[in-house]
Amino acid sequence: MMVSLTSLEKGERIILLLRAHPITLIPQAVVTLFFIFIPTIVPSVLSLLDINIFDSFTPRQILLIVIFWYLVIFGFAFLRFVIWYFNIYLLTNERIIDIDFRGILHKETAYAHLNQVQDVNPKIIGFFGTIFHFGNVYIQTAAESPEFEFHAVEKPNEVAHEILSQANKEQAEKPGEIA
Amino acid sequence: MPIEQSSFAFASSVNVVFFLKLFFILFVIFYTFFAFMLFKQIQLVTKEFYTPVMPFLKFIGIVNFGISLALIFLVMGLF
Repeated sequence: MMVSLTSLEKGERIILLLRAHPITLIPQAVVTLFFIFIPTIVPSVLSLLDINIFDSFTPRQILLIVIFWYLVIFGFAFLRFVIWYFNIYLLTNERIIDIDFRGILHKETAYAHLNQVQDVNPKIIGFFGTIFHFGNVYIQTAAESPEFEFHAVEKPNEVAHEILSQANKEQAEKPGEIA
Repeated sequence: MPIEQSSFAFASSVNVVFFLKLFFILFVIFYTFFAFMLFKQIQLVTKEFYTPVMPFLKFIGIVNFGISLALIFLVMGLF
């Protein structure tokens, strides 16, 4: 896996790297597409009402408005992608790590050692979750964050199984041992 | 043309252009700030966590910020 995390301890390795299923990006993609087509739809709708917005602006100003419109749409789409891409759930042979990127001004990271894992519940809810096989995995821990939520991850049952098996391995190890 | 009518036309055109320009400049400044914050966040996450896509995201982030900066000057010049 060509992925590295600076906070990994010596001997610690990444077992699972998860993020929300790509299908969860579809609503944002639809909104983006809708806004992309607005500049072509609005003038034709207004011309039906005998309103010509091109009379009010010079061609340069219209060009600038169009550039600005698409830049804002690009910014929105890019932000949505970055939020999706940076919301990462990691399972290592020692810990679970939840990196929550909720917006450009909000980022949270939570860690829990596998020997603090108490309970793991996978849940598949809804039409799309069932069709595309994704759902949430809730992990109860004795760490500072009492519950971790892996949101809309692919194959939640297998993820839960892997977390439990790694937690069992960790609990069987001697304290301080990294294997 | 009566004086009142011509001065009204002049005043209204100045106001529309002035407020449009003000609106665009403020919006572009706001967008530039947003683009800068997004780029900084990408940089911060890259320091903590690295995948092969990160340099590409950083590149898009800085291009987005650069274009928004250029747009401020364009708005000032064109309107």
